[in-house]
Amino acid sequence: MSAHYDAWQEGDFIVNVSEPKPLPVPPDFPVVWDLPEDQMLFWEIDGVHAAGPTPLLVQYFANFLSNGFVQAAKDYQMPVSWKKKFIHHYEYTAMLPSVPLEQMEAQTMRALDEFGAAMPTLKQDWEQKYLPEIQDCLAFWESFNLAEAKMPALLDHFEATLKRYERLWHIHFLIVFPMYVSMSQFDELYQDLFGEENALDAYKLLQGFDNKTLESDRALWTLSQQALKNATLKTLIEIHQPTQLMAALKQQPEALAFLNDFNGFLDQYGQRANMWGLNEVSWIEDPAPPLQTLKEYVLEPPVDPTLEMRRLAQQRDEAIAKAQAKLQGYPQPVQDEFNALLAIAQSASVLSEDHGFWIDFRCNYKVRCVIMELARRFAEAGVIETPQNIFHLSLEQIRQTAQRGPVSGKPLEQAEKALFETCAAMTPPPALGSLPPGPPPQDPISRTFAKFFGVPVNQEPPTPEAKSILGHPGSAGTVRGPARVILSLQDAHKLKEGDILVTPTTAPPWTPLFATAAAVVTDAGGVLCHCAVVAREYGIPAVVGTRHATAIFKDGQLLEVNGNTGRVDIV
Amino acid sequence: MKILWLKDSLCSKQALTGGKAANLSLLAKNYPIPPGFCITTAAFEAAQTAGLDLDHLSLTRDDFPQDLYDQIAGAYQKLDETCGTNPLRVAVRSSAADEDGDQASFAGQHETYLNVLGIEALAVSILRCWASAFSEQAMAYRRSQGYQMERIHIGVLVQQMVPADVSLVLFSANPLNHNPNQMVINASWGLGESVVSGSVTPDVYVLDKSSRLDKSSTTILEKTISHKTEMTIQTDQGTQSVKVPRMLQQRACLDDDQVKQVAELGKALETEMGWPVDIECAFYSNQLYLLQCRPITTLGKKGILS
Repeated sequence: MSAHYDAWQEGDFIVNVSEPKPLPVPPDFPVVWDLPEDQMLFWEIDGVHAAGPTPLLVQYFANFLSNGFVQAAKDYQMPVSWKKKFIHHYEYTAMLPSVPLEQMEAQTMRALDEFGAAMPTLKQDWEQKYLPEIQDCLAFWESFNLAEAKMPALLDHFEATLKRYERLWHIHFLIVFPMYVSMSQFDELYQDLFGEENALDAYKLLQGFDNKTLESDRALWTLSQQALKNATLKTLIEIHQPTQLMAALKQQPEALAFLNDFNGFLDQYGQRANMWGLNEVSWIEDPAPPLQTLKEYVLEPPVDPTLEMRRLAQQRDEAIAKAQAKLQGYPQPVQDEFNALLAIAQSASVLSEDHGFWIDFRCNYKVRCVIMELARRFAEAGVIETPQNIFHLSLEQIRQTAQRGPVSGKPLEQAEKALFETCAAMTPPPALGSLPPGPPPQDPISRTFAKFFGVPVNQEPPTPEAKSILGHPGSAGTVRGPARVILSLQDAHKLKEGDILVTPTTAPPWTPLFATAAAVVTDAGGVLCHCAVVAREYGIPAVVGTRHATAIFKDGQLLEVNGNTGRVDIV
Repeated sequence: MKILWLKDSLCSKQALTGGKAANLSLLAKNYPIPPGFCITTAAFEAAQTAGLDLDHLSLTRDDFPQDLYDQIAGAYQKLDETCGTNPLRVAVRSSAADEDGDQASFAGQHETYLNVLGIEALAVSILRCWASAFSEQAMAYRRSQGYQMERIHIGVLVQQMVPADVSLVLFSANPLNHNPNQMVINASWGLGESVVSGSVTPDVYVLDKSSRLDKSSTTILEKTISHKTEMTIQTDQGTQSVKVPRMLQQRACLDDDQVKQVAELGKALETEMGWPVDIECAFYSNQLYLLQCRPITTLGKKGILS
């Protein structure tokens, strides 16, 4: 969605063009444009959320998500909307104006009015309107007995699930638009009032509040403390691979209470998968990732997260008092605006994690359960080879199979799965289509998107021999440590206490690693992205949106991460 | 009479307190004017007689005759008690006997010191106000307007500081098209300096005042919300010009009710004074304060409009 900003990035460096300029198409990634106007748009891979190619069924569900974006953008009269396109199974997004260019400014003002009206009640609307609706959806899924439902009932349930899924993403964007705009506006108000010397000062005033991500991580830490108190348990965890740990715990009578508590943890927080996407396996289904973190926590116990939160809260209160004292001589409307926006942005920064806990993970998990019940039956009937392969079917194939039963003798997903695997071997270019002309849009809404997705910062593409790299300041502080490049959570065990976590992006389930890492460096994102938000709550330095960190840094290289300036050096 | 309080009948004698203070004193009974006192032209003369040398100021209490300094300190103390704000911050403005007349406004010719805190700072501000009347700029203005150059009668007005949220200037007749049935309001964020000095393009309201006197009758004819980039704010001691946060730059700094409230004040003052007025006022905590009231000089002799 940083489309307009990335217009200044051709390949890797920033350029400015006077008219739409077609981007080169790699020979091994041919593109056929169904609509000629689509070729004029700037299509980009969303590095914050994307992880490889998207299976066919997940593409359908992504369209429901997209509809939610478009609908909420309309509701808030936003001057921009987006389009999604899957090219060789890779998801590309283009931002496009929703009104003629000469009306953009007036439309932006209207949208800001809409956001201004929505922001003061954001927290209240979440608690009293949206969360109850989300919980109603969860109750709907909870009350349906998937295993025992007859196929027609299960198919009806599946269709009802799709409707709810679409509505949930509408809610998602109704929340996140004013949420991120309020954080961005607070950031800008703070910089206007107190200067731009330290890009992250404003965010100090928002830190130290509890949220669902921290709560989940703290629950895991509490479990590790419990394990440390029992020598048998401790040894069990230390000597077993996370994948075998569950079985080992079940055989040890002394571990019974702990096992109960761990299952309680999974009930509460195990709906997370390692990344976004319905094809991602949840922790409930495979608890190896939290067990891996648990093991790390037992081997090298991190500090009590509650103390860290208290420290951050104290820093926050001091920073607020200091800011308010500086504003004493300012007109009351300025002070009022500051205080009102501060309160909204504080709730927003909590919501920026909590909405994901409820919608992106809890609801997604329930939808996945519905899909996986169909998958189980299809696999049993020989329609597909394995349950997980259901993600290579289309919605129509699922409907038809559910209605009429298996039609052909051979597994339905074979051709699509083969295609998917071919695509997985391809390297998608970061952008396709055309560079849009003109200077980057300078309005508060575009700036908000830019702060979430990150604008390119490197003037020239770094060479493989580069000794330093620039990104966005994500979380304050400077620290040195060995680089640890982690491309997926499966490699999490490589990360040791004091390492610099270097990664393409982080989803919420990655955050327990933040207790182990000395700092985090990402390829994607900006100061408002999830990774930066949580790094601030862990009080570790973060540089985000470097675009190239995972390509340039090698395991074990000693890095200095400066979260204030957004610079990472090899020392 | 070295010190006169606003509302005292003597305080409204222009020869004693200067045009600015005299006008305000006259209006102080019925209009929302911050409390204050005036160091009279007589006090200035007595100080000069006693040896005040404006060319060689030490900018301490030693520049003052002892008794005058004590009286100023006493008045400041009394104003502090009246206002009940501790510590008392004041605005210090020069008020020349021949200024704020219908011929020439002297606007901006004489110094104003805002947010003055403590008796020592007050004393320095008074000395500077006196000296400003003799500045090259002020003298040139006097010469150009045909005022006398020999004896300059200067008073100094000391008032409780209004930490303005929004500052305004109102002309009860349109100074641009000379239409007596229109009023014009300029408004901007913060203290008055940026509006008065013209360093900011203010929000502009043009109002129709021809209709009846009831409050709802004032019609806003034109409303121009400007891009207000600067504002003057209070610092610990004094003022400072700062950037207006982007979010507030294009926001109207008055709502329509406030505009009408100012318009009513303008109408009432024009009726009271008998001439079209040029007023400075300010909103602080939703209260409107009148800071200055003088004839609109650019319209010519007062008879022309009536």
